[in-house]
Amino acid sequence: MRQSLFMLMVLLVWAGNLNAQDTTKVQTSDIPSAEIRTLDDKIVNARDILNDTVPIVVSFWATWCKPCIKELTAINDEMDTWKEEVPFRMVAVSIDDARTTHMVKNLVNSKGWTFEVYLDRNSDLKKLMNVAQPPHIFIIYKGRIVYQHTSYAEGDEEALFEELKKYR
Amino acid sequence: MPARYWMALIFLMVFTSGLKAQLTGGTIKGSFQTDFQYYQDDSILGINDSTLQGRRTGSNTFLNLTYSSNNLEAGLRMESFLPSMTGYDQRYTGAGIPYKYLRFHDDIWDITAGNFYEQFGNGMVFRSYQDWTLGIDNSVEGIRIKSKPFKGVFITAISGVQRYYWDRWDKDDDRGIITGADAEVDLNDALPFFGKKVKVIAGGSFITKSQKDNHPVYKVPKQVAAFAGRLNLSYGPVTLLGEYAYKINDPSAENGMIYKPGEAIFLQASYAVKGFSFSAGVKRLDNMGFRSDRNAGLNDLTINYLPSITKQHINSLPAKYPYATQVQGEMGFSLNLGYKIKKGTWLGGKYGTDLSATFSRLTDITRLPLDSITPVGQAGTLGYTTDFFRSGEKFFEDISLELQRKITKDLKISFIYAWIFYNIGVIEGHLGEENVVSHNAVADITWKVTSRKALRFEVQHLLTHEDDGDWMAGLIEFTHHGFFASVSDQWNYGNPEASKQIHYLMVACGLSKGATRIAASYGRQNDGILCIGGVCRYVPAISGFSVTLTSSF
Repeated sequence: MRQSLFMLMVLLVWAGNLNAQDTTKVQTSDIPSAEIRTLDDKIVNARDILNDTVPIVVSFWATWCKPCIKELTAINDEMDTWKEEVPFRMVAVSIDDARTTHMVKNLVNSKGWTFEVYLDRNSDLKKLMNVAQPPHIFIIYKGRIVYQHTSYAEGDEEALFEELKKYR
Repeated sequence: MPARYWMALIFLMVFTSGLKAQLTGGTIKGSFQTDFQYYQDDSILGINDSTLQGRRTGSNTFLNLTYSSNNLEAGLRMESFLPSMTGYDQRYTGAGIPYKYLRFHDDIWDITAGNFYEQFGNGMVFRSYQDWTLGIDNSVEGIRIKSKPFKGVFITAISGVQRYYWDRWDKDDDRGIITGADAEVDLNDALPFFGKKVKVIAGGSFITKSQKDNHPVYKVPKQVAAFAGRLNLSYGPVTLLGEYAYKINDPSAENGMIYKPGEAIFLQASYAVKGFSFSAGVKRLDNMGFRSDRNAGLNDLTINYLPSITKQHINSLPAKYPYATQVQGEMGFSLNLGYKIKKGTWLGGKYGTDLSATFSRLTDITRLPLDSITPVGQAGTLGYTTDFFRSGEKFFEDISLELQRKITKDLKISFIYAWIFYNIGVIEGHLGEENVVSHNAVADITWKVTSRKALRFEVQHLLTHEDDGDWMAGLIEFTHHGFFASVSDQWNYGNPEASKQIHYLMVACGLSKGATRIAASYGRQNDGILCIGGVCRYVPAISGFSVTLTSSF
């Protein structure tokens, strides 16, 4: 009897889990509550920013991370073409600390990047999203992390686009 | 049914649902990172069993776990250093859970009990953070309360003790208790009549360290308070920001037991529009070392964070002589320019060309004697007086130019030139050594062979008459889907001593799939100063084998 009850419990947890992933109006989400900042230094909560009905691509990067800049430049070049096929939001979260936080806005502008950029200057969101090293990219769909990838090599953005197409 | 069966079933179910356990609406997430190194003898580098003290291996491992539901969160980090890798403080050797917390948050409150990381303003009076590349973890164990009482108003209060390797804090501890608060007001949100055109954010911080007077000679303050005020203004493309910090007298091992108060100022102005940016920053520090134990040294127990304003070079040779913030006194400025030459123009080419230029210069502050009989920096006195605007000995200067261009769809190039002046006597404490003046050049070419296959070549050169003389470095890297392999060499061909004209050859490969990455390397690693954000750590030369594994789930 005890064993059957336990088995039932396990099944319920499992089913609840599957269900939670498929439900659009989830109570909880994979997005932690963490303060991040806009490029104008305004405090916002990641939970509000990364909550949308369209997929959101979130890239953790830094001004001192060369592959990150390569990846973001590649995405920026393709972004408009991709959006014609799959509506999505592109969000870049800089983990630059006080040394280089002030350089982020300048870099974003001089590179001509057109996506949303936020600052995670003491790595609070980075830690809660379990990012070890940048570049680390996520696709968040309806509050859930549906894809993630660490490091960048030439052409990785194409794999990202293939993943994005699953959520049109 | 045997228990093992149940275990296997549970494991399978958790695994099939994406390594995620969802327990009554909550989620468990985590990450894992391990670095392992095997050290071998190297007669050319002078590494043998006695220099290694019999330690042939080192490993640093971290496991982070976070449970979160709607308003609750709990987290921990398990660490093991068995023993800690060469170049990390051996006091880390051991294993345990030095970071654990419980957190409640809603729309107004955010309360954490346990260990936490926090930063007030730019960190000039308080920043607790973790950076494992530098071997720094000064997390605070205690309580943190954050509140948003009104729209646009953010208040944070903290109290606790900082981590010191594996030592548990007790009431007789040399570590002081730090307590403080920070308030930030977004004037556009808080005051509706303020309008939205000019964005104004103002903030102020206060932090105090209370440490017992344990000094055998001097009577030292048991409470050391520091204050800071900041302002951030932005109007369209223009941003102005500044922060000023003041610390009351705090005689310490670092400042030679002087009673002078400390102060720091940082100002920056920038202008940025699409395709163009310019910024200018100035900074001055005077006696701003601040630690929760006045006797601490190295990177231990720092309460505040005073980053440098110099360019952070990424390539190994220009990064060979990096600047480290001189917390006892420095002043300087930096200028940064970024420009994108439009695509389709003669200069810009088909895809446009990115240009950037930076200039930074840091010097000492002036220190004048208090009177005709007291030498500058005399312990037990105010130490010195200073002329705010007059600079002293030059510490560092860097002129860097960078060009990045996509030539065709499959070919990208970048060039860097940097001229660096490095006062090795002050920055590395090698008194009497000649200042190092170096010319650095880097060329980087990436060729996309097919859509997911690429080759990257990198050549670097460092020319100098001082220190170890000239260096050359090269790298070839191949990437294909998530796989990479590389061969690199650094060669100190210009070393004045022929026996030190060493090659540092390294081969590496790795694989990344999803959020997991594994990489291995074999070869020689050059010794040097590794700096991030003006905080530095000495990395000794090693020869051997390394493996790194990171994974998030």
